[in-house]
Amino acid sequence: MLTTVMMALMASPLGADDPVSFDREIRPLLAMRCILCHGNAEESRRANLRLDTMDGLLGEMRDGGQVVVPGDPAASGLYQRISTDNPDVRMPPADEGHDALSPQERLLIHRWIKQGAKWEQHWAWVAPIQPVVPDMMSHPVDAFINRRVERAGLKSSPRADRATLLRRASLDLIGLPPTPEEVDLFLQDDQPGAWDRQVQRLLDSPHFGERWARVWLDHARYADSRGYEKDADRTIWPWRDWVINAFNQDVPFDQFTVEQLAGDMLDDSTPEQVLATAFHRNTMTNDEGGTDDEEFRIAAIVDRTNTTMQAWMGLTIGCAQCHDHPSDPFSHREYYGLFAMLNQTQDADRTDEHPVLPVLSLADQSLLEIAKSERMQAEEDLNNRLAVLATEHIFSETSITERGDRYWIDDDLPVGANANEVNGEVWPWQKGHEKIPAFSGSRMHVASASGPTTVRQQYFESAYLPLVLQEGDQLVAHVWLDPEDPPAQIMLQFHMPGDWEHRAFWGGDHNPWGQLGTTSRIRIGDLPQTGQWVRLELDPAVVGLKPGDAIDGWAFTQAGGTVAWDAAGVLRDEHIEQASLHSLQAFEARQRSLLNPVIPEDVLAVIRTPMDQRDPAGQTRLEHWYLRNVQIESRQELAALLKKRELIDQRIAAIEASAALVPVMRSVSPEMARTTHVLERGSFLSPGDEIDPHVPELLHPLEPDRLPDRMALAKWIASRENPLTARVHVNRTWERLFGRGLVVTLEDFGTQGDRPTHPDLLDWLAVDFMDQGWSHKELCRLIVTSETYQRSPAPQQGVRELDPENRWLSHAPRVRLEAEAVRDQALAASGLLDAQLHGPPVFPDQPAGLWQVTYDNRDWPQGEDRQRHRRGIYTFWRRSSPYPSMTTFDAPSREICSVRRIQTNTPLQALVTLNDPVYVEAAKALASRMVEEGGEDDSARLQRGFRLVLGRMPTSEELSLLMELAQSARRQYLNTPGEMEAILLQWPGTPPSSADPADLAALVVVANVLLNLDEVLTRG
Amino acid sequence: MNPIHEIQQHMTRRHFLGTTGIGMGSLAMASLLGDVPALAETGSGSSHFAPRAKRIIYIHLAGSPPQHDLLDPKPILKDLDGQPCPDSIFQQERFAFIKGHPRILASPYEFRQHGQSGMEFSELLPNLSTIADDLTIVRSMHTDEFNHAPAQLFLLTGSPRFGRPSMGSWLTWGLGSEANDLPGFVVLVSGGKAPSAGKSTWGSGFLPSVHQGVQCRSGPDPVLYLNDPHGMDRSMRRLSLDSLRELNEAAFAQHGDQETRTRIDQFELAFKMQMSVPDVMDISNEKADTLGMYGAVKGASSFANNCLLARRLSERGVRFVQLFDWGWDTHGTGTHDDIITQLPMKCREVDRPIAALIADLKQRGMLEDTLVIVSGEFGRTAMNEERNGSKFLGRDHHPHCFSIIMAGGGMKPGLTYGRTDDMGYAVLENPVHVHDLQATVLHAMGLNHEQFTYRYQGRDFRLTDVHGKVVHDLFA
Repeated sequence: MLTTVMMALMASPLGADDPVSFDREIRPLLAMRCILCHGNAEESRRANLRLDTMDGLLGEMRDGGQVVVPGDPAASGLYQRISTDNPDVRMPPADEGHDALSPQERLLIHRWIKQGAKWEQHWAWVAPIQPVVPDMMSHPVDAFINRRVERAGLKSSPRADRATLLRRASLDLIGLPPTPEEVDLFLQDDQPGAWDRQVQRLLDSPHFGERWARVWLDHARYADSRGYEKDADRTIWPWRDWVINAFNQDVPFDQFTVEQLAGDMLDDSTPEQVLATAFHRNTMTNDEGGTDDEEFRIAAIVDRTNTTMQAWMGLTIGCAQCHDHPSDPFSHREYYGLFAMLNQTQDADRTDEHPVLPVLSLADQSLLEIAKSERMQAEEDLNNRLAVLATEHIFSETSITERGDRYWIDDDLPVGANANEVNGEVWPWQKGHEKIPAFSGSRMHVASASGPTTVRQQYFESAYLPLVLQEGDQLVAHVWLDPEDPPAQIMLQFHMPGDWEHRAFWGGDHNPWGQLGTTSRIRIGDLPQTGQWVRLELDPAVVGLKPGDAIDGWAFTQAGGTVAWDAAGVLRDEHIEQASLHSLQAFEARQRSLLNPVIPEDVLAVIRTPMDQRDPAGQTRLEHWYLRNVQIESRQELAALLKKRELIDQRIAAIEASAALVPVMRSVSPEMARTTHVLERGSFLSPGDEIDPHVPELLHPLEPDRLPDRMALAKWIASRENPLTARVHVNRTWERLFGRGLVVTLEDFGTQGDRPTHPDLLDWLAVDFMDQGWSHKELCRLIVTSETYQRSPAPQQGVRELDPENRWLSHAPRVRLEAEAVRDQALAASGLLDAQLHGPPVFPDQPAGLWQVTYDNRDWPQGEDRQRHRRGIYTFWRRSSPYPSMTTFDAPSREICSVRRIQTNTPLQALVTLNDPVYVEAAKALASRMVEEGGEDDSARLQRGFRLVLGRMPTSEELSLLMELAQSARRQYLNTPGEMEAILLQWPGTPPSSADPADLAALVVVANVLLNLDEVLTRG
Repeated sequence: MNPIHEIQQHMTRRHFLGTTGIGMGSLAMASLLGDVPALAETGSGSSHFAPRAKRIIYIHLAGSPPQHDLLDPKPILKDLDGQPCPDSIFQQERFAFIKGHPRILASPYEFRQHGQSGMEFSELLPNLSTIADDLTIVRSMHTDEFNHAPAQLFLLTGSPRFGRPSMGSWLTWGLGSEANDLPGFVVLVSGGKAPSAGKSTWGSGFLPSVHQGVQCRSGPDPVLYLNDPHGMDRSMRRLSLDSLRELNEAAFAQHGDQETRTRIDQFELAFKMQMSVPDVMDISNEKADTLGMYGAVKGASSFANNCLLARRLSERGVRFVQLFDWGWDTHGTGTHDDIITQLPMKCREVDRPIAALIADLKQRGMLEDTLVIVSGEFGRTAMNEERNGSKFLGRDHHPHCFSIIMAGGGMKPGLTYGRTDDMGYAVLENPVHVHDLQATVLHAMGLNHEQFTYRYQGRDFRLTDVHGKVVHDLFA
């Protein structure tokens, strides 16, 4: 109570005529004393009276009269009820344990009504308008800050010394301390703009992204595990690297926003933009047996709704999940309007984390790039060789036009031939024998007819690979007639699908088929000589066949006698396999002759194109394919090159298969769109009315002509019209740089949150931020180049009494380093830091047995190659058991969105920095550096150590205290050689040989003290 | 809310109440240790009314023991054993693991009445039976959650979701600590595994992290990083801390930041804890009789040792000692989680130590102002789970009723409170919701659960959310 009054008194002078601001003075008072029963929440509203809207304040009381009569406090129901002495009527009600308003508070309301009861909207619901800078000669930040410093009667501190300043900015901007050499460069830079140059250097540092990503990861509740009971591992670190890159590349904050909320919905979205949406896949998933996936899917959407509003707009709308927000104008239904826009993604608390995006680590990406460039090289080598081989082989003259037989029936029927049966014989094969030697191969067709002119016929159809006739082909068969049993007639007959009408005969006309004298039955001549193999040749045209016809069946027919047949097919311009292996022309001709060539389509297409119509690329493709795959000499020569390329291909495939599968957002298809219902009391088992996606009425509308989907929500948040987004980001950035926000409640810009200490500065910065293209780097630059930022941390005389909290920033605030920075700094100062960026999470030392896991036996890896000294942002973050020293230094568990780490100061923190093995290791490494870089002299070594942790030189008092410590420690170690030996064990690297053991042991003690100095743990 | 109020909230509530308006800069940092005056020293100014209990020992049997086999006898089930359960139950229920139509499982254990009060215990709890007249049993507990992690969070933080402060954090924030060289909220874990909901069950949520439970472990490093590095003995540590103090004092003289002063103190407290924590964790000075009574063994890591440690911590003024014991999730998928082999084994592990703890507190005169609570996070079904046709006997999760034991801290000894139906399925009389238990615990500590709030993100949060009523009948 007291504090409210003090606020009111501080904020407004006491004069009765000074204007009272509703927003600054009256609303906070109503919010604290009245709004819970007379506010936005319909359920809990009493007497149907609301004091949070203009209509409510100017409306009727339930029992008559007006709530507020502008200009007339006595006639105003509100004033009557707060000022009456009658305890039955007085508000807030005494019988419920509430105190009456104080006289000052009553007076304030009296004055406000008297002055006309002017209503103002809550400041944060109105988009910022850039105020005029009060002093155009000053840096804008200083102009606003100095005005308040002066008004508060304070005196500003001068600029801090350069070493302090550089350490401050380094820790603030990149989260790491400056090296003594960096400090020296700054100290020696006596040209104008020295500070700007340092700021530029820090903004350009790749560690800038790591430091600011760290902040964003708390917003995003980033963790390497899924949460809940099983808390299984989750692969989502590529998104963390995306954030680091985004800050390093200074991606405009509006784009940063849209990509994370709806990057997958952008036109032609890149993999990076899809990866950005993993922001909202940091929600927890429950893999416990028996859990209802829909329950936890809803829980994830609730978390996304709350997180979106909290992370970007500084709103705490979680209460509207179950009922109307009690104090801010957001209804239960409006909550589900926002929820509806986020309710259309595919993820559904599935164990496989569907949907996912394959992402390669940077290391793998570079391996892949190397492999791909090697592949290009291999390809080039191949092509170079091919070019040479082409000249050698493509046009080499191999005779390909020799005529020769190509047998279709020889020792076997063609594949798939379906032959008839005669006397139980399918095809009367006989091995060659003494009487009739086979003409070709080992066997032949031998048949005897039962009577002198009895017709006997053997035939087959349906050969799978037909005999396709070419230009110049002659049909060929070889026949042997038995001199002791000669036939009266022999006939050849050919089949194309459904058509046997192609017959040619020798000898007498003894069969009835077809029409004599036509192609269906034509006599060629007399029977040939008996007792010897005779070659029969037949022009296909004679039996009505032409080039291109596909013969799939064949018949040998005889009238009487015994006849042997063998080696039947065609005589053609010989395109044999052998020729193909040497000559492209032969190869082409052969391919053209085949019904089903088994070569790539595009190569075949070239072959089928007449030579003079081919394009050069096609021709080259053909030639190269031929040389790689067919031509016998080149094929062998190229085999090694091809093998090499194949191995590279395998490597590429392996790298691609190792891609991390990162959960991302994907919208459901329109036909799968979900209907959103209000959930009564927030329970997924109690769906109420159906709700269309929409944004709270109080705020600016969605862009017109746009579906109210996730993208619309993203654009709405990243809009200049949004009264909160820019203010919230500017405020949070300010908090990282000054230890407290201009609005202290970073998480609540609503009516229950704090009002800004410097509303005009906040608005000026917010508008400027948007004007500068939402550039986070420019925002940082603007603030750190102000005088305000550069002030000394020591207050001027009397300031502490007047402004104990340093609200008005007359001097630089001292802020304890955040968890990650405490450790990063120790590693950096001691030289242990492994400064590489990006990659999978790492497992630095932690005490054994901390992971007592419920359902599996995963444990903290203990191997040697663990990258133990990476920055804290890369440490594996398990929600159910975060890295212990982080927790001790106030890091959240990352189960839900957290935008502010409340700083504590505890003995457990002291135990970490004194005894955690990594700090002991850092102390030893720091001792090494003190010896190696400081030189022989004790005092020089101590100064070096001091500068490594703090940048500045020690004062003479500090130096002498350190000297004393070093000497005492040295003496004590000489008296306890066992202890001395023990402290020198487990030394990181090689202990410097130039120091004697007692000196070195003493320096470890000194280094341990240095790393625990208040000034080291604090950014001053 | 205004910034001064905000900063005040970062301290313990007591600290706020003990100080007025201005000069908060020096007070902004809460201390884990005894820089806050003890409740007893300042009277009831900081609690809402006279407390019945000054400290709590909360024993959580993680996984949840079956009430049918321990504290809530249902003889009628003997006749129904193996029969399908009534349709009315089967059709309205969601189970975690049970598939098909489940069958009734009568308890294979005998129950008998004990003590003047005639309190009923199964044969699995012979030692607790002997102190029946010191105990209070609630058979009508019920919860909203039926999976481990949410149910544990619900019980211990008031919300099934992550992010709320645990009961111990609320109490150390509200009441400070009586111990001047120990944390106010200590957690001890046994059974080989931490509770399902992990550290959130002793997390501080939005309260300052200084109020989160400090897990003490058996073994040489009971608090993380408690031991000085090898090669740095106590005198060397003292030497270095003296030097550190002088350097920090010099810095303080420069800029006058009160944080620096606080940090100087915290280093000194850390130094003290390096002695006091191993001291309290070292049971070698306990008499053989005492060790025997608990079944504690020097150097062991066990539930029995943790019970003895709980007494030692409470004696030294630790406000809230939280024990977790894993292994009670008796589904009956094998001998490792059935009620024939596993349950009797777990009962043997805890029955004697809990009985010993309560008796020991009593003989030391501490029981009257120490509240001991023994509970799971929910109950178990009256039906056999038979997961995948398992032949082992076990019970599935059940939110509608479960039984807990309380003792001391103003509870009415010998009282068996609440009644469930003949199946042990639903509460018939005097239901006690998890929020009611929380309200009752706060009441025992002298706090009105409706007024005991912390403002965060624009809302006054309570351990009991917006529910809960004190069960006055439980108090003597």
